[in-house]
Amino acid sequence: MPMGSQTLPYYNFHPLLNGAEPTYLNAFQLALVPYVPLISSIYWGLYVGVLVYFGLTYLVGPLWWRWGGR
Amino acid sequence: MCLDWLSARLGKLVKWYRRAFRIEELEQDKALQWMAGALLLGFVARFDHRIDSWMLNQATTVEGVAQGLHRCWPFFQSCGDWIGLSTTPYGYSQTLVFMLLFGVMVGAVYAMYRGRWAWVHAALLGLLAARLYFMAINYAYKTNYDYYHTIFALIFLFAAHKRFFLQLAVVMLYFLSTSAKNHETWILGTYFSSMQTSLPIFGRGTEPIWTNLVIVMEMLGAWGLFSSRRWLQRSVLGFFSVFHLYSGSLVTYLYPLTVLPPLLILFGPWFVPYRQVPLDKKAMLGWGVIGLMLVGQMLPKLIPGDEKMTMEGTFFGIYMFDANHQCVVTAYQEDAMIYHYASQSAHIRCDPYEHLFRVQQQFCRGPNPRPVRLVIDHSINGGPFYRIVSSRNACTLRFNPWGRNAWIADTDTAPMVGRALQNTYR
Repeated sequence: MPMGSQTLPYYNFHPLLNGAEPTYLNAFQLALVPYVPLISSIYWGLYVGVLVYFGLTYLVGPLWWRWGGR
Repeated sequence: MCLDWLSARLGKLVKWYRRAFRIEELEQDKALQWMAGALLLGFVARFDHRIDSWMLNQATTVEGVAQGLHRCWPFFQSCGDWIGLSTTPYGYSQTLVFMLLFGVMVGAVYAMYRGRWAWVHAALLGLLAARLYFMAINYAYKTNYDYYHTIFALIFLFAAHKRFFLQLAVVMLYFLSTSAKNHETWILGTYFSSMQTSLPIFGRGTEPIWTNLVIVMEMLGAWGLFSSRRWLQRSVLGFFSVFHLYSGSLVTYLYPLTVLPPLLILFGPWFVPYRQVPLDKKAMLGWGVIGLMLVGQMLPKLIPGDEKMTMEGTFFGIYMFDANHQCVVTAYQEDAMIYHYASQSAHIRCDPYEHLFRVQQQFCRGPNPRPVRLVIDHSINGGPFYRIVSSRNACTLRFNPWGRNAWIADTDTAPMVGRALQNTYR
């Protein structure tokens, strides 16, 4: 048992099991685990893409057009 | 009568006030008039919410400061000097202040009934000032719905093109929240699968379907609220309305009370698509608020490490359902346990700064305090407990709100010390 953990009177805190840690992931989640970095990258791409698209289309573009772009 | 008499006496001031705060927008727009009601509802819900009431909270009282129960922001650690109220069993000044604010709310309703929108505005301005004061003196008043309501109130009260910027704020709040959700927590749905009861209604094993649907709808779908295609606009409105009713089964009334009325008022039957967005000089304040929201959400991402584990910078942005938290916080003075806090509630964030501040306030006062050993074990999403804080003397620690704090370890350096069982939301 790691040092210190035995002093914690908290019912959801349990000692480590020497590598045999339980997982609460179900089969669907376990199948998705390898793809988490890819999915996360896609989401970040969409996040930045949305900001750039709406920023350019509705904010930067019209302002540039109005203030001497033409 | 009373309002007429006052308006006549304050003629010039009222004229200036009407012009400065663009009261004519309120007078001409039924949606904004209903928004005033939605904001009032938000104040009522927040000031006396049954779970986390601002009224009767000892943390914002003189006695709370004396006992070290208050929680100051990292930028304003002397907030205790600005606390002067008392509540039961020590006094009544805090409850009297909140009842005075209740009187202001009742007055606002009367002014609405009379169609006196400058007075409604002034009442909401007073209520917002009170809200900002209490938020400034209590670090705990930084929940997501506090941010939502404050942003709506700021735009409603101060910005020009109020309706547009309120609508944009609703969409941006959905959108920005996805930067916190772009994590294993929501991609795999581990927030919910690590709870004993998982998601309401939907069965265990389907979590990633629903969590990824929410990410996609908040990131992309929310913009459909502005669509001129009626079927699309109404479909998205329907989705988010159902989403708020559904999520209320976990978070209870306060969040849906804060968000659902503005959503329905701003994007419901009174919604009219825009041909172009406001870009005149008057719109600068509105764009400034939107820009600040964007910057605030980016700041935690600029701090290295997993902010869901360290909690560093998260108070700058929207972090609703950021991760399923569990923690054990213990402080010792010469081997005697002097502070113990344990939480298995998924929504309680286990913020190391908050506990550091409390420990320092309670045990590090005076010129030469005895050393206090502080240990914080934190688990997210049912994963192992990591010992993210293990300090020999918490009295000497300082918190940097803008970057990494060497005394808070991330998962790459913190030792695993235990395993978590499945927990509950509350």
